[in-house]
Amino acid sequence: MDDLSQALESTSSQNPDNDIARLKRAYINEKCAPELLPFQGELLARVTEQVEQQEATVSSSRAAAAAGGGSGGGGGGAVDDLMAHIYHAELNRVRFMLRAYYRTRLFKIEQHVVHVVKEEEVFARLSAREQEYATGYTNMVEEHFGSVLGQLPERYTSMLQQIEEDEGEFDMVPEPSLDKHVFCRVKEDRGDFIIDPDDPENTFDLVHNNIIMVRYRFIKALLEEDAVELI
Amino acid sequence: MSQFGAKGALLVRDIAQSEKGTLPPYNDEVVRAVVDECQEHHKSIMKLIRDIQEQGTSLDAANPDDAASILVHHQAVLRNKRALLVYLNERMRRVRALRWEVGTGLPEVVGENLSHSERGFFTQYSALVNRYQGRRGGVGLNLTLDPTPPKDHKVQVRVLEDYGEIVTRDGAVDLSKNTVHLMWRDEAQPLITEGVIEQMAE
Repeated sequence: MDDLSQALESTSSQNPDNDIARLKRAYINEKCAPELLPFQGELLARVTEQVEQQEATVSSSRAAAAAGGGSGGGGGGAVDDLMAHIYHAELNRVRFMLRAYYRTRLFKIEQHVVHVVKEEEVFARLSAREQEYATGYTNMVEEHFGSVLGQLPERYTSMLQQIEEDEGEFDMVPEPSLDKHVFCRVKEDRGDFIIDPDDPENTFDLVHNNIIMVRYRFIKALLEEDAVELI
Repeated sequence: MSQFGAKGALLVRDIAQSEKGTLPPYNDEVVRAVVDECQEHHKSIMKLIRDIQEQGTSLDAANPDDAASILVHHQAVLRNKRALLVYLNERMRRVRALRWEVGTGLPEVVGENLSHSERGFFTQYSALVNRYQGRRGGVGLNLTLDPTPPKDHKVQVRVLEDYGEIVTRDGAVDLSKNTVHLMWRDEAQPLITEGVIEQMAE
């Protein structure tokens, strides 16, 4: 029983320092933010490895138990089953978060794919595979729209500009709105903080564990520094 | 004059009034009509410009009536273009959603309603997602599983139609109609999506 509670403690998502808790935060942040956040490559690699190791351990112990004779000691067998059950539940939850994290990012990429591919700074936040995905998706969309747009009169055929002009802006490319309001919890004391750079007299006292609702644009920098988390 | 943009509006209404998640048949006729209308507008614009140039005046100093006509035709083309894109874009979104809900096999019934280009899009998109999910060069996780957080790692399911025998982690399972089985979630999920089995309420 001591082993059990110890094992649970180390993987508990209440423990803020472990990778699973970090994954959960990364997923929630990604879900709430209106734009793409930097890809947490290292975190995901570590969690994926842990999941695979965990799976291998559980299935090899299951195999060992099965091979060791079906009627292995009653009491010992039941606890092992319970452990396996708990490990499986945990694995499923972690796998869910991994899948959801990848999915959320893919959806965000697709929503504003031309913007993502055009803006270097945004494109750099994607993992290598996501970058491949984004360029692939852009090409597909261009081809599909092109099948109809190509029949329009010349100079109207572009999907980036309403009418093609050398100096015209790309007025047909949507961007995510950074003015969307988000809820966030403050993770460290920051004292008086100037929320809106255009309104420097209006400061707000940021105290640990405060929850505030504010436009994403204003806390973007804080989020990057990990001083707040979105909820 | 009042006919400008009417066909475009038809297209937009077509897709806006359809139920979300369904795909009405691709309205090739109206799309073609809208495109032709744009070409007509363009011809009018070119004619107006030619007339002005023949009279010897520069475009900037042209008669305000003519200038207004050119502008109206131009805006009409832009409006039609916008309507076309709304139509195409919304349909494209729904086609895309099919890959996530239904999987790589496109049901015949739906396929009939898609244009040639949309079918091509579905195939390419499927391939794109598969590549991203795959073990080689991809993240190695099937992303269409677990749309909601999992509660149990085994589910009780009832078989809806005769499916035959399948091989699971626990051995072979015979899926004949109306039998009940206890299966691993990740093995049951694709079959639930396909509609072969259903999860039993607790």
